[in-house]
Amino acid sequence: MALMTKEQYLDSLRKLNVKVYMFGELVENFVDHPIIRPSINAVGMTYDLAHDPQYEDLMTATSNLTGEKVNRFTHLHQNTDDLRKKVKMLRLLGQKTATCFQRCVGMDSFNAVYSTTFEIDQAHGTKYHENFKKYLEYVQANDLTVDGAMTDPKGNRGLAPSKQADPDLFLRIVEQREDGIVVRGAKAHQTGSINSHEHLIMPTMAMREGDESYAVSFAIPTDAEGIFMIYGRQSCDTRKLEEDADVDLGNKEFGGQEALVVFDDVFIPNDRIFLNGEVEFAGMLVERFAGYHRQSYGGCKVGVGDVLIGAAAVAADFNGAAKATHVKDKLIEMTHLNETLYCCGIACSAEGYPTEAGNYQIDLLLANICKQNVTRFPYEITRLAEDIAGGLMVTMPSEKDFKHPKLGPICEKYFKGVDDVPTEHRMRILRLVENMTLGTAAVGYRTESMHGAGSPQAQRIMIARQGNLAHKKELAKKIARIDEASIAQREAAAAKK
Amino acid sequence: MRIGVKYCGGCNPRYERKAFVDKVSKNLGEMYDLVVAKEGEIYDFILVMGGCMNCCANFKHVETRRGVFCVKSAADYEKVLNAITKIGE
Repeated sequence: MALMTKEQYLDSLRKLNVKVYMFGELVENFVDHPIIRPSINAVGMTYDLAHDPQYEDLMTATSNLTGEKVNRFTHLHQNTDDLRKKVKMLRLLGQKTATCFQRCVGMDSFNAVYSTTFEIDQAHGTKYHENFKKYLEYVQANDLTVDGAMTDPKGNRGLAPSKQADPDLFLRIVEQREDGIVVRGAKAHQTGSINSHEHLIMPTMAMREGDESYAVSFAIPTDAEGIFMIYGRQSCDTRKLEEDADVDLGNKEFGGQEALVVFDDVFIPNDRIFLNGEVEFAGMLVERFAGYHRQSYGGCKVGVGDVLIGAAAVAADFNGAAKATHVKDKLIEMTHLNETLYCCGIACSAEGYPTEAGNYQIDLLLANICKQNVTRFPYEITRLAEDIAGGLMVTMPSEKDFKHPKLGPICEKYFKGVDDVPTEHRMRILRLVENMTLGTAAVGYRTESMHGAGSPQAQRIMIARQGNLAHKKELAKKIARIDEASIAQREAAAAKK
Repeated sequence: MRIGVKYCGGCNPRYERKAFVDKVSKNLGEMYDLVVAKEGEIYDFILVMGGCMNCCANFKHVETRRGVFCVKSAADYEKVLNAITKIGE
Protein backbone atom coordinates (compact mmCIF):
# COMPACT_ATOMS: atom_id res chain seq x y z
CA MET A 1 0.00 0.00 0.00
CA ALA A 2 2.63 2.53 -1.05
CA LEU A 3 0.02 5.10 -2.07
CA MET A 4 -3.24 5.22 -0.15
CA THR A 5 -6.43 6.69 -1.57
CA LYS A 6 -8.53 9.10 0.46
CA GLU A 7 -11.01 6.30 1.21
CA GLN A 8 -8.23 4.04 2.45
CA TYR A 9 -6.96 6.91 4.58
CA LEU A 10 -10.42 7.37 6.13
CA ASP A 11 -10.65 3.64 6.83
CA SER A 12 -7.22 3.67 8.43
CA LEU A 13 -8.27 6.49 10.76
CA ARG A 14 -11.39 4.60 11.79
CA LYS A 15 -9.21 1.73 12.97
CA LEU A 16 -7.35 3.99 15.42
CA ASN A 17 -8.49 4.35 19.01
CA VAL A 18 -7.78 8.09 19.18
CA LYS A 19 -8.88 9.83 22.34
CA VAL A 20 -9.96 13.39 21.60
CA TYR A 21 -12.05 15.74 23.74
CA MET A 22 -14.17 18.61 22.48
CA PHE A 23 -16.50 20.87 24.45
CA GLY A 24 -15.68 18.85 27.57
CA GLU A 25 -16.68 15.50 26.10
CA LEU A 26 -14.85 12.51 24.62
CA VAL A 27 -15.61 12.38 20.87
CA GLU A 28 -16.98 8.95 19.98
CA ASN A 29 -16.46 9.01 16.20
CA PHE A 30 -13.97 11.73 15.30
CA VAL A 31 -13.83 10.81 11.59
CA ASP A 32 -17.46 11.77 10.99
CA HIS A 33 -17.69 14.62 13.50
CA PRO A 34 -18.96 17.70 11.60
CA ILE A 35 -16.35 20.00 13.14
CA ILE A 36 -13.42 17.62 12.60
CA ARG A 37 -14.32 16.05 9.24
CA PRO A 38 -13.41 19.04 7.01
CA SER A 39 -9.85 18.88 8.36
CA ILE A 40 -9.72 15.17 7.53
CA ASN A 41 -10.95 15.96 4.01
CA ALA A 42 -8.07 18.42 3.62
CA VAL A 43 -5.53 15.73 4.50
CA GLY A 44 -7.48 13.37 2.23
CA MET A 45 -6.66 15.64 -0.70
CA THR A 46 -2.95 14.85 -0.20
CA TYR A 47 -3.84 11.21 -0.90
CA ASP A 48 -6.29 11.77 -3.76
CA LEU A 49 -4.06 14.05 -5.83
CA ALA A 50 -1.23 11.51 -5.71
CA HIS A 51 -3.38 9.27 -7.93
CA ASP A 52 -4.28 12.00 -10.44
CA PRO A 53 -2.03 12.10 -13.55
CA GLN A 54 -2.41 15.88 -13.67
CA TYR A 55 -0.73 16.24 -10.28
CA GLU A 56 1.28 13.10 -9.55
CA ASP A 57 4.53 14.65 -10.80
CA LEU A 58 4.44 16.94 -7.78
CA MET A 59 2.62 14.64 -5.40
CA THR A 60 4.90 11.63 -5.64
CA ALA A 61 8.63 10.89 -5.55
CA THR A 62 10.99 7.93 -5.63
CA SER A 63 12.18 6.95 -2.17
CA ASN A 64 15.95 7.00 -1.66
CA LEU A 65 15.45 4.37 1.04
CA THR A 66 13.53 1.75 -0.93
CA GLY A 67 13.43 2.88 -4.57
CA GLU A 68 9.64 2.74 -4.39
CA LYS A 69 7.19 5.40 -5.52
CA VAL A 70 5.98 7.25 -2.41
CA ASN A 71 3.81 10.20 -1.54
CA ARG A 72 6.06 13.27 -1.52
CA PHE A 73 4.85 14.04 2.00
CA THR A 74 6.93 11.06 3.20
CA HIS A 75 9.97 11.80 1.04
CA LEU A 76 13.52 12.85 1.94
CA HIS A 77 14.63 15.65 -0.38
CA GLN A 78 17.42 14.35 -2.64
CA ASN A 79 18.27 17.55 -4.51
CA THR A 80 17.15 21.14 -4.98
CA ASP A 81 14.58 19.99 -7.52
CA ASP A 82 12.88 18.02 -4.73
CA LEU A 83 12.93 21.11 -2.51
CA ARG A 84 11.29 23.22 -5.26
CA LYS A 85 8.72 20.54 -6.00
CA LYS A 86 7.79 20.44 -2.34
CA VAL A 87 6.93 24.16 -2.44
CA LYS A 88 4.96 23.68 -5.65
CA MET A 89 3.06 20.74 -4.17
CA LEU A 90 2.12 22.80 -1.12
CA ARG A 91 0.89 25.64 -3.32
CA LEU A 92 -1.22 23.18 -5.31
CA LEU A 93 -2.81 21.79 -2.15
CA GLY A 94 -3.55 25.28 -0.82
CA GLN A 95 -5.36 25.95 -4.09
CA LYS A 96 -7.40 22.74 -3.85
CA THR A 97 -8.43 23.12 -0.18
CA ALA A 98 -8.24 26.86 0.67
CA THR A 99 -7.03 25.86 4.10
CA CYS A 100 -4.20 24.23 6.02
CA PHE A 101 -3.91 20.60 4.86
CA GLN A 102 -1.75 19.69 7.86
CA ARG A 103 0.60 17.10 6.41
CA CYS A 104 3.70 19.24 5.85
CA VAL A 105 4.83 19.15 9.50
CA GLY A 106 5.47 15.44 9.15
CA MET A 107 7.52 15.87 5.99
CA ASP A 108 9.55 18.68 7.54
CA SER A 109 10.24 16.68 10.68
CA PHE A 110 11.32 13.60 8.65
CA ASN A 111 13.96 15.62 6.84
CA ALA A 112 15.18 17.37 9.99
CA VAL A 113 15.35 14.22 12.12
CA TYR A 114 17.03 12.24 9.32
CA SER A 115 19.97 14.61 8.96
CA THR A 116 20.30 15.41 12.67
CA THR A 117 20.32 11.77 13.83
CA PHE A 118 23.10 11.06 11.34
CA GLU A 119 25.26 13.72 12.99
CA ILE A 120 24.35 12.65 16.54
CA ASP A 121 25.44 9.12 15.74
CA GLN A 122 28.72 10.41 14.31
CA ALA A 123 29.39 12.30 17.54
CA HIS A 124 28.09 9.81 20.10
CA GLY A 125 28.16 6.37 18.44
CA THR A 126 24.41 6.02 18.99
CA LYS A 127 21.98 4.18 16.68
CA TYR A 128 19.36 6.89 16.24
CA HIS A 129 19.84 7.23 12.48
CA GLU A 130 19.28 3.50 11.89
CA ASN A 131 16.22 3.68 14.15
CA PHE A 132 14.86 6.57 12.15
CA LYS A 133 15.54 5.05 8.74
CA LYS A 134 13.60 1.93 9.72
CA TYR A 135 10.79 4.08 11.04
CA LEU A 136 10.60 6.15 7.86
CA GLU A 137 10.57 3.03 5.69
CA TYR A 138 7.52 1.93 7.69
CA VAL A 139 5.89 5.34 7.20
CA GLN A 140 6.58 5.32 3.45
CA ALA A 141 5.42 1.72 2.94
CA ASN A 142 2.12 2.50 4.65
CA ASP A 143 1.74 6.09 3.36
CA LEU A 144 1.13 7.40 6.87
CA THR A 145 0.30 10.90 7.97
CA VAL A 146 2.60 11.93 10.79
CA ASP A 147 2.31 14.95 13.06
CA GLY A 148 5.75 16.50 13.49
CA ALA A 149 5.28 17.86 17.01
CA MET A 150 7.64 20.49 18.35
CA THR A 151 5.93 23.23 20.38
CA ASP A 152 5.84 22.74 24.13
CA PRO A 153 3.50 24.78 26.36
CA LYS A 154 6.70 26.53 27.66
CA GLY A 155 5.25 28.13 30.83
CA ASN A 156 7.49 31.04 31.88
CA ARG A 157 9.26 32.03 28.65
CA GLY A 158 12.12 33.53 30.65
CA LEU A 159 13.10 30.21 32.25
CA ALA A 160 14.86 27.11 30.91
CA PRO A 161 12.89 23.84 30.83
CA SER A 162 14.55 22.51 33.97
CA LYS A 163 13.91 25.78 35.88
CA GLN A 164 10.11 25.86 35.41
CA ALA A 165 7.91 25.78 38.51
CA ASP A 166 5.99 22.91 36.90
CA PRO A 167 8.50 20.51 35.31
CA ASP A 168 5.90 19.16 32.84
CA LEU A 169 5.60 22.43 30.89
CA PHE A 170 8.22 21.04 28.52
CA LEU A 171 7.76 17.44 27.43
CA ARG A 172 10.32 15.34 29.31
CA ILE A 173 11.64 11.90 30.11
CA VAL A 174 10.40 10.83 33.54
CA GLU A 175 11.87 7.33 33.50
CA GLN A 176 14.79 5.63 31.74
CA ARG A 177 14.20 1.89 31.36
CA GLU A 178 16.20 -0.92 29.81
CA ASP A 179 13.68 -1.27 26.99
CA GLY A 180 12.87 2.42 26.46
CA ILE A 181 11.77 5.63 28.14
CA VAL A 182 8.61 7.02 29.73
CA VAL A 183 7.65 10.60 28.79
CA ARG A 184 5.29 13.16 30.29
CA GLY A 185 4.16 16.59 29.15
CA ALA A 186 2.28 18.08 26.21
CA LYS A 187 2.66 19.56 22.74
CA ALA A 188 0.56 22.64 22.01
CA HIS A 189 -1.05 24.03 18.81
CA GLN A 190 -0.63 20.65 17.09
CA THR A 191 -1.87 20.98 13.52
CA GLY A 192 -3.55 17.84 12.24
CA SER A 193 -2.63 15.75 15.28
CA ILE A 194 -5.97 13.93 15.44
CA ASN A 195 -5.85 13.12 11.71
CA SER A 196 -2.35 11.66 11.99
CA HIS A 197 -1.50 7.98 12.32
CA GLU A 198 1.67 8.80 14.21
CA HIS A 199 3.39 11.58 16.13
CA LEU A 200 7.07 12.43 15.67
CA ILE A 201 8.18 14.40 18.70
CA MET A 202 11.03 16.91 18.72
CA PRO A 203 12.36 19.29 21.40
CA THR A 204 11.03 22.83 21.22
CA MET A 205 14.29 24.79 21.47
CA ALA A 206 18.06 24.66 21.89
CA MET A 207 19.04 23.22 25.26
CA ARG A 208 21.94 23.30 27.69
CA GLU A 209 23.49 21.07 30.30
CA GLY A 210 20.90 20.40 32.96
CA ASP A 211 18.08 20.02 30.42
CA GLU A 212 19.00 16.44 29.41
CA SER A 213 15.61 14.96 30.26
CA TYR A 214 13.97 17.52 27.90
CA ALA A 215 16.26 16.79 24.94
CA VAL A 216 14.15 14.00 23.51
CA SER A 217 12.86 12.94 20.10
CA PHE A 218 10.77 9.85 19.34
CA ALA A 219 7.87 8.49 17.30
CA ILE A 220 4.66 7.03 18.70
CA PRO A 221 1.28 5.91 17.32
CA THR A 222 -1.41 8.55 17.85
CA ASP A 223 -3.60 6.11 19.78
CA ALA A 224 -0.85 4.85 22.11
CA GLU A 225 -1.74 4.34 25.76
CA GLY A 226 -1.48 7.61 27.70
CA ILE A 227 -1.98 10.02 24.75
CA PHE A 228 -5.09 12.19 24.43
CA MET A 229 -6.00 15.47 22.70
CA ILE A 230 -8.10 18.49 23.56
CA TYR A 231 -9.49 20.04 20.37
CA GLY A 232 -8.79 23.72 19.67
CA ARG A 233 -11.67 26.12 19.00
CA GLN A 234 -11.82 28.13 15.81
CA SER A 235 -13.74 31.28 15.05
CA CYS A 236 -17.28 30.38 13.80
CA ASP A 237 -16.62 26.65 14.39
CA THR A 238 -20.12 25.82 15.67
CA ARG A 239 -21.66 26.92 12.37
CA LYS A 240 -20.63 23.43 11.26
CA LEU A 241 -23.07 21.98 13.82
CA GLU A 242 -26.04 23.88 12.36
CA GLU A 243 -28.57 21.73 10.53
CA ASP A 244 -27.99 21.58 6.73
CA ALA A 245 -25.25 24.22 6.99
CA ASP A 246 -23.76 25.00 3.59
CA VAL A 247 -23.60 28.61 2.36
CA ASP A 248 -22.83 30.02 5.81
CA LEU A 249 -19.75 27.80 6.12
CA GLY A 250 -17.95 29.46 3.23
CA ASN A 251 -15.88 26.29 2.75
CA LYS A 252 -18.07 23.29 3.53
CA GLU A 253 -15.63 20.63 2.39
CA PHE A 254 -12.27 21.58 3.89
CA GLY A 255 -10.77 23.01 7.09
CA GLY A 256 -7.79 22.99 9.42
CA GLN A 257 -7.33 21.55 12.87
CA GLU A 258 -5.25 22.17 16.00
CA ALA A 259 -5.15 20.49 19.38
CA LEU A 260 -3.28 20.19 22.65
CA VAL A 261 -1.70 16.72 22.72
CA VAL A 262 -1.14 15.38 26.24
CA PHE A 263 1.41 12.67 27.06
CA ASP A 264 0.43 11.13 30.37
CA ASP A 265 3.38 8.85 31.16
CA VAL A 266 3.74 7.28 27.70
CA PHE A 267 6.20 4.43 27.10
CA ILE A 268 8.51 4.75 24.08
CA PRO A 269 10.45 1.63 23.02
CA ASN A 270 14.17 1.99 22.26
CA ASP A 271 13.82 1.52 18.49
CA ARG A 272 11.51 4.56 18.31
CA ILE A 273 13.92 6.93 20.09
CA PHE A 274 15.93 9.46 17.99
CA LEU A 275 17.37 11.73 20.71
CA ASN A 276 17.81 10.92 24.38
CA GLY A 277 19.66 13.52 26.38
CA GLU A 278 22.24 14.76 23.83
CA VAL A 279 21.43 18.40 24.61
CA GLU A 280 23.86 19.92 22.12
CA PHE A 281 21.82 18.51 19.19
CA ALA A 282 18.44 19.85 20.30
CA GLY A 283 19.21 23.23 18.71
CA MET A 284 20.31 21.66 15.41
CA LEU A 285 17.09 19.67 15.19
CA VAL A 286 14.94 22.70 15.97
CA GLU A 287 16.80 24.93 13.51
CA ARG A 288 16.53 22.43 10.67
CA PHE A 289 12.86 21.68 11.24
CA ALA A 290 12.07 25.40 11.54
CA GLY A 291 14.01 26.08 8.33
CA TYR A 292 12.01 23.53 6.36
CA HIS A 293 8.76 24.69 7.87
CA ARG A 294 9.49 28.34 7.07
CA GLN A 295 10.10 27.24 3.48
CA SER A 296 6.75 25.39 3.52
CA TYR A 297 4.84 28.62 4.14
CA GLY A 298 6.18 29.97 0.85
CA GLY A 299 4.01 27.32 -0.81
CA CYS A 300 0.91 26.53 1.24
CA LYS A 301 -0.06 30.11 2.11
CA VAL A 302 0.47 31.10 -1.52
CA GLY A 303 -2.01 28.44 -2.67
CA VAL A 304 -4.58 29.62 -0.15
CA GLY A 305 -3.83 33.18 -1.27
CA ASP A 306 -4.59 32.17 -4.87
CA VAL A 307 -8.10 31.17 -3.78
CA LEU A 308 -8.62 34.37 -1.79
CA ILE A 309 -7.49 36.54 -4.70
CA GLY A 310 -9.88 34.60 -6.94
CA ALA A 311 -12.71 35.01 -4.43
CA ALA A 312 -12.13 38.78 -4.23
CA ALA A 313 -12.15 39.01 -8.03
CA VAL A 314 -15.39 37.01 -8.27
CA ALA A 315 -16.96 39.21 -5.56
CA ALA A 316 -16.01 42.26 -7.61
CA ASP A 317 -17.64 40.68 -10.67
CA PHE A 318 -20.82 39.91 -8.73
CA ASN A 319 -20.87 43.42 -7.18
CA GLY A 320 -20.53 45.00 -10.62
CA ALA A 321 -17.26 46.64 -9.58
CA ALA A 322 -14.77 44.59 -11.61
CA LYS A 323 -14.03 47.36 -14.09
CA ALA A 324 -13.18 49.96 -11.43
CA THR A 325 -9.51 50.91 -11.75
CA HIS A 326 -8.87 50.76 -8.01
CA VAL A 327 -10.32 47.23 -7.82
CA LYS A 328 -8.10 46.04 -10.66
CA ASP A 329 -5.12 47.64 -8.96
CA LYS A 330 -5.91 45.98 -5.62
CA LEU A 331 -6.08 42.58 -7.31
CA ILE A 332 -2.70 43.26 -8.90
CA GLU A 333 -1.28 44.22 -5.50
CA MET A 334 -2.65 41.02 -3.94
CA THR A 335 -1.08 38.98 -6.72
CA HIS A 336 2.22 40.82 -6.33
CA LEU A 337 2.32 40.08 -2.59
CA ASN A 338 1.33 36.46 -3.08
CA GLU A 339 3.89 35.78 -5.79
CA THR A 340 6.57 37.48 -3.70
CA LEU A 341 5.99 34.83 -1.04
CA TYR A 342 6.28 32.15 -3.71
CA CYS A 343 9.55 33.70 -4.93
CA CYS A 344 10.92 33.32 -1.40
CA GLY A 345 9.82 29.69 -1.17
CA ILE A 346 11.39 28.85 -4.51
CA ALA A 347 14.56 30.84 -3.79
CA CYS A 348 15.37 29.16 -0.48
CA SER A 349 14.79 25.81 -2.21
CA ALA A 350 16.95 26.58 -5.24
CA GLU A 351 19.80 27.55 -2.92
CA GLY A 352 19.51 24.33 -0.92
CA TYR A 353 22.50 22.13 -0.10
CA PRO A 354 23.23 18.53 0.93
CA THR A 355 23.53 17.65 4.62
CA GLU A 356 26.08 15.15 5.90
CA ALA A 357 23.34 12.52 5.81
CA GLY A 358 22.73 13.23 2.12
CA ASN A 359 19.25 14.74 2.13
CA TYR A 360 18.91 18.38 1.14
CA GLN A 361 18.45 21.37 3.44
CA ILE A 362 17.05 24.75 2.39
CA ASP A 363 19.02 28.01 2.54
CA LEU A 364 18.35 29.13 6.09
CA LEU A 365 18.58 32.88 5.58
CA LEU A 366 16.21 32.88 2.61
CA ALA A 367 13.75 30.54 4.37
CA ASN A 368 13.61 32.91 7.32
CA ILE A 369 13.07 35.87 4.99
CA CYS A 370 10.26 33.84 3.40
CA LYS A 371 8.50 33.25 6.70
CA GLN A 372 9.06 36.83 7.88
CA ASN A 373 7.17 38.01 4.79
CA VAL A 374 4.46 35.45 5.49
CA THR A 375 3.90 37.09 8.90
CA ARG A 376 2.88 40.24 6.99
CA PHE A 377 1.66 39.75 3.43
CA PRO A 378 -1.37 37.51 4.05
CA TYR A 379 -2.68 40.22 6.40
CA GLU A 380 -2.46 42.80 3.62
CA ILE A 381 -3.98 40.38 1.09
CA THR A 382 -6.80 39.77 3.57
CA ARG A 383 -7.33 43.51 4.08
CA LEU A 384 -7.57 44.07 0.34
CA ALA A 385 -9.96 41.12 -0.07
CA GLU A 386 -12.25 42.61 2.59
CA ASP A 387 -11.98 46.00 0.89
CA ILE A 388 -13.05 44.58 -2.47
CA ALA A 389 -15.74 42.25 -1.06
CA GLY A 390 -17.59 45.00 0.79
CA GLY A 391 -19.23 45.10 4.21
CA LEU A 392 -21.93 42.61 3.27
CA MET A 393 -19.53 39.73 3.94
CA VAL A 394 -20.03 40.36 7.67
CA THR A 395 -23.56 41.77 7.79
CA MET A 396 -25.67 39.50 5.60
CA PRO A 397 -28.36 37.30 7.15
CA SER A 398 -28.04 33.55 7.58
CA GLU A 399 -28.85 31.02 4.89
CA LYS A 400 -31.92 30.06 6.93
CA ASP A 401 -33.26 33.56 6.30
CA PHE A 402 -32.62 33.11 2.59
CA LYS A 403 -34.60 29.86 2.68
CA HIS A 404 -37.46 31.31 4.78
CA PRO A 405 -40.77 31.56 2.86
CA LYS A 406 -41.37 35.19 3.83
CA LEU A 407 -37.84 36.52 4.39
CA GLY A 408 -36.23 34.65 1.49
CA PRO A 409 -37.71 36.75 -1.33
CA ILE A 410 -36.83 39.93 0.58
CA CYS A 411 -33.23 38.78 1.01
CA GLU A 412 -33.13 37.81 -2.68
CA LYS A 413 -34.37 41.26 -3.67
CA TYR A 414 -32.17 43.41 -1.46
CA PHE A 415 -28.95 41.41 -1.63
CA LYS A 416 -28.93 41.12 -5.40
CA GLY A 417 -25.80 42.34 -7.17
CA VAL A 418 -25.48 42.28 -10.97
CA ASP A 419 -28.60 41.05 -12.79
CA ASP A 420 -27.28 37.86 -14.31
CA VAL A 421 -25.82 36.37 -11.12
CA PRO A 422 -28.10 34.57 -8.64
CA THR A 423 -28.09 36.19 -5.21
CA GLU A 424 -27.09 32.86 -3.67
CA HIS A 425 -23.87 32.85 -5.71
CA ARG A 426 -23.02 36.28 -4.35
CA MET A 427 -23.68 35.05 -0.81
CA ARG A 428 -21.48 31.99 -1.38
CA ILE A 429 -18.44 33.92 -2.55
CA LEU A 430 -18.77 36.50 0.25
CA ARG A 431 -19.02 33.71 2.83
CA LEU A 432 -15.86 32.18 1.38
CA VAL A 433 -14.06 35.51 1.85
CA GLU A 434 -15.44 35.65 5.39
CA ASN A 435 -14.30 32.08 6.08
CA MET A 436 -10.76 32.81 4.95
CA THR A 437 -10.33 36.24 6.49
CA LEU A 438 -12.06 35.87 9.86
CA GLY A 439 -13.79 32.48 10.02
CA THR A 440 -12.42 29.00 10.62
CA ALA A 441 -9.85 29.20 7.80
CA ALA A 442 -8.43 32.46 9.18
CA VAL A 443 -6.75 30.35 11.87
CA GLY A 444 -4.54 28.95 9.13
CA TYR A 445 -4.28 31.92 6.81
CA ARG A 446 -3.80 34.69 9.36
CA THR A 447 -2.65 33.76 12.87
CA GLU A 448 -0.83 30.63 11.72
CA SER A 449 0.98 32.85 9.20
CA MET A 450 2.05 34.98 12.16
CA HIS A 451 3.05 32.32 14.69
CA GLY A 452 3.27 29.00 12.86
CA ALA A 453 6.85 27.80 12.22
CA GLY A 454 7.93 30.36 14.80
CA SER A 455 6.78 33.87 15.65
CA PRO A 456 8.25 36.87 13.78
CA GLN A 457 10.98 37.51 16.34
CA ALA A 458 12.31 33.97 15.91
CA GLN A 459 12.93 34.71 12.24
CA ARG A 460 14.53 38.06 13.02
CA ILE A 461 17.02 36.37 15.34
CA MET A 462 17.94 33.97 12.53
CA ILE A 463 18.14 36.80 10.00
CA ALA A 464 20.51 38.67 12.34
CA ARG A 465 22.68 35.54 12.68
CA GLN A 466 22.74 34.74 8.99
CA GLY A 467 22.70 38.25 7.54
CA ASN A 468 26.45 38.91 7.88
CA LEU A 469 26.25 42.60 8.70
CA ALA A 470 30.05 42.81 9.07
CA HIS A 471 30.42 41.89 5.39
CA LYS A 472 27.98 44.62 4.37
CA LYS A 473 29.88 47.19 6.47
CA GLU A 474 33.13 46.23 4.74
CA LEU A 475 31.48 46.66 1.34
CA ALA A 476 30.35 50.16 2.26
CA LYS A 477 33.74 51.15 3.64
CA LYS A 478 35.49 50.02 0.50
CA ILE A 479 33.17 51.98 -1.77
CA ALA A 480 33.49 55.05 0.49
CA ARG A 481 37.30 54.64 0.42
CA ILE A 482 37.52 54.28 4.18
CA ASP A 483 40.82 52.54 4.83
CA GLU A 484 41.07 51.74 8.53
CA ALA A 485 44.79 50.96 8.39
CA SER A 486 45.66 54.39 6.96
CA ILE A 487 43.34 56.07 9.46
CA ALA A 488 45.23 54.34 12.25
CA GLN A 489 48.54 55.49 10.73
CA ARG A 490 47.34 59.09 10.52
CA GLU A 491 46.12 58.99 14.10
CA ALA A 492 49.46 57.58 15.25
CA ALA A 493 51.35 60.29 13.36
CA ALA A 494 49.16 62.99 14.85
CA ALA A 495 49.73 61.63 18.32
CA LYS A 496 53.52 61.64 17.75
CA LYS A 497 53.50 65.30 16.78
CA MET B 1 -0.16 6.64 -33.11
CA ARG B 2 0.08 6.41 -29.34
CA ILE B 3 0.98 9.67 -27.62
CA GLY B 4 1.90 9.67 -23.94
CA VAL B 5 0.83 12.78 -22.04
CA LYS B 6 2.92 13.68 -19.01
CA TYR B 7 1.60 16.51 -16.83
CA CYS B 8 3.64 18.74 -14.55
CA GLY B 9 2.08 19.19 -11.10
CA GLY B 10 0.18 22.32 -12.10
CA CYS B 11 1.07 24.51 -9.09
CA ASN B 12 0.77 27.81 -10.94
CA PRO B 13 -0.53 27.03 -14.45
CA ARG B 14 -0.91 29.92 -16.88
CA TYR B 15 -3.45 27.97 -18.99
CA GLU B 16 -5.74 24.94 -18.63
CA ARG B 17 -3.51 21.96 -19.35
CA LYS B 18 -6.28 19.36 -19.46
CA ALA B 19 -8.44 21.48 -21.78
CA PHE B 20 -5.39 21.93 -24.03
CA VAL B 21 -4.90 18.16 -24.29
CA ASP B 22 -8.61 17.59 -24.96
CA LYS B 23 -8.49 20.18 -27.73
CA VAL B 24 -5.40 18.60 -29.31
CA SER B 25 -6.99 15.15 -29.11
CA LYS B 26 -10.21 16.35 -30.71
CA ASN B 27 -8.35 18.15 -33.48
CA LEU B 28 -6.05 15.23 -34.30
CA GLY B 29 -8.87 12.69 -34.54
CA GLU B 30 -9.05 8.97 -33.87
CA MET B 31 -5.76 8.10 -35.55
CA TYR B 32 -3.97 9.60 -32.60
CA ASP B 33 -4.46 8.08 -29.17
CA LEU B 34 -3.53 10.50 -26.38
CA VAL B 35 -3.11 8.62 -23.09
CA VAL B 36 -1.64 9.42 -19.69
CA ALA B 37 2.05 8.47 -19.83
CA LYS B 38 3.11 5.71 -17.48
CA GLU B 39 6.61 4.94 -16.21
CA GLY B 40 8.40 2.19 -18.14
CA GLU B 41 6.12 2.32 -21.18
CA ILE B 42 7.16 3.31 -24.69
CA TYR B 43 5.14 5.80 -26.72
CA ASP B 44 5.39 7.02 -30.29
CA PHE B 45 5.52 10.56 -29.02
CA ILE B 46 5.44 12.30 -25.66
CA LEU B 47 3.59 15.48 -24.92
CA VAL B 48 4.86 17.11 -21.72
CA MET B 49 2.22 19.47 -20.38
CA GLY B 50 4.04 22.17 -18.42
CA GLY B 51 1.80 24.79 -16.84
CA CYS B 52 4.40 27.52 -17.20
CA MET B 53 7.66 28.26 -19.02
CA ASN B 54 9.64 26.22 -16.48
CA CYS B 55 7.97 22.95 -17.59
CA CYS B 56 9.36 21.08 -14.57
CA ALA B 57 7.63 17.73 -15.23
CA ASN B 58 9.94 14.77 -14.82
CA PHE B 59 9.60 12.47 -17.85
CA LYS B 60 12.92 10.67 -17.74
CA HIS B 61 11.21 7.32 -16.93
CA VAL B 62 8.92 7.49 -19.97
CA GLU B 63 10.31 6.34 -23.30
CA THR B 64 9.51 7.68 -26.76
CA ARG B 65 10.21 6.41 -30.27
CA ARG B 66 9.87 9.63 -32.16
CA GLY B 67 10.27 12.58 -29.92
CA VAL B 68 9.05 14.87 -27.16
CA PHE B 69 7.30 18.22 -27.14
CA CYS B 70 7.30 20.33 -23.96
CA VAL B 71 4.23 22.53 -23.95
CA LYS B 72 4.84 25.71 -21.97
CA SER B 73 1.93 27.93 -22.92
CA ALA B 74 -1.38 27.94 -24.75
CA ALA B 75 0.44 29.60 -27.63
CA ASP B 76 2.18 26.30 -28.35
CA TYR B 77 -1.03 24.80 -29.70
CA GLU B 78 -0.26 25.06 -33.43
CA LYS B 79 3.33 23.94 -32.89
CA VAL B 80 2.09 20.83 -31.10
CA LEU B 81 -0.29 19.96 -33.93
CA ASN B 82 2.44 20.49 -36.50
CA ALA B 83 4.96 18.40 -34.58
CA ILE B 84 2.58 15.47 -34.16
CA THR B 85 1.11 15.47 -37.64
CA LYS B 86 4.59 15.74 -39.14
CA ILE B 87 5.59 12.54 -37.37
CA GLY B 88 2.32 10.88 -38.38
CA GLU B 89 2.91 11.55 -42.08
